[in-house]
Amino acid sequence: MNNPSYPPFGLIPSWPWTTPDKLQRQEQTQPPANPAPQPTGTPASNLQELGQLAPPEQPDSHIHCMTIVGQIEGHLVLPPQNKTTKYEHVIPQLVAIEQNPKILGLLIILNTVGGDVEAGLALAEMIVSMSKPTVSLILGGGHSIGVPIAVSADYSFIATTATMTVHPIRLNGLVIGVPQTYEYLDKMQDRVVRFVTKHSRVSEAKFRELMFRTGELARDIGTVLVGKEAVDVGLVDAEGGVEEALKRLNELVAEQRTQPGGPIQ
Amino acid sequence: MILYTPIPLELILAGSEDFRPTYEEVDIRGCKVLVERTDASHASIVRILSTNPADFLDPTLFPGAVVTFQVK
Repeated sequence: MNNPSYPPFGLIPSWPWTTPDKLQRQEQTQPPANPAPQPTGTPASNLQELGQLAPPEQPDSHIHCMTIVGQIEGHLVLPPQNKTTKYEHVIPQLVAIEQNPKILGLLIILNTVGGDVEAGLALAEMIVSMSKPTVSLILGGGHSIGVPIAVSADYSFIATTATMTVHPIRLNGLVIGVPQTYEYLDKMQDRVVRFVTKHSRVSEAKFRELMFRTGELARDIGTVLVGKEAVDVGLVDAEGGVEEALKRLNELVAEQRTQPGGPIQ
Repeated sequence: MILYTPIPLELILAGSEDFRPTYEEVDIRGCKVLVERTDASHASIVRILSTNPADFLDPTLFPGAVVTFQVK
């Protein structure tokens, strides 16, 4: 403790020579665990070190791409075997995207198995209230709370093989014992149903019918919608891939440019 | 907390009993971040503690990015 360079806060005592302002970010091309000095920077050295090629040089894009994958993590930090999207990072990113004059449109790539209701709805409400054009593309899956996030974009696409699971909300593993619990869950479910029906073409009756259908899911009631089925029921706007999604997004960007000041929704 | 997902809860929460990460708060170029130490001189970023939205679009501060503690 008599070392004058001892860090003022937080850092563990075994590191008296480390002060927070001496932190330097790691060169991304350098593997952190390898103690040997490595040549960095060129694609060839990348190939040697990581077996990975650097992506081709790109001109600056006016479209920002946000991926929402795995579990939507809510108020509880999930154990590390979960691949999660953390809402406390995505929300400020959306604010930054909304403010950044260089970004004209947002592409949201979804491959999520659902997650926390509050966090999912928070993301969906953020996306829906953005003034910049947004297009979502569901690849693989957009299940449960991924459904409101998918429909929150100005225009939504689903890949031909992608699926969406629509099923009721419940407290996992708990037995509903008192009427209040049931009413509370019902209210939570209504939030999702209301959001989805407001921002897509699906009617409330149809969405609830999909939610409570029996005989489709092995362990649950509900529906699995594959590709075009999600378009047919009106949840998603069109079937397509990255080409269609980017084309539509560029159209929306061009539309917004011709009518300045007016957010499209 | 209500999880709305087709994944069974026991799968999601497996291992949560022993999941006790230790985080440290450090300063990187004026931006406070929460890091988890991976070894003696490296740590990976867990969370950005900033009110500047631009910090959240900085790829060097993305969660999971590795920072090195420089030895004097």
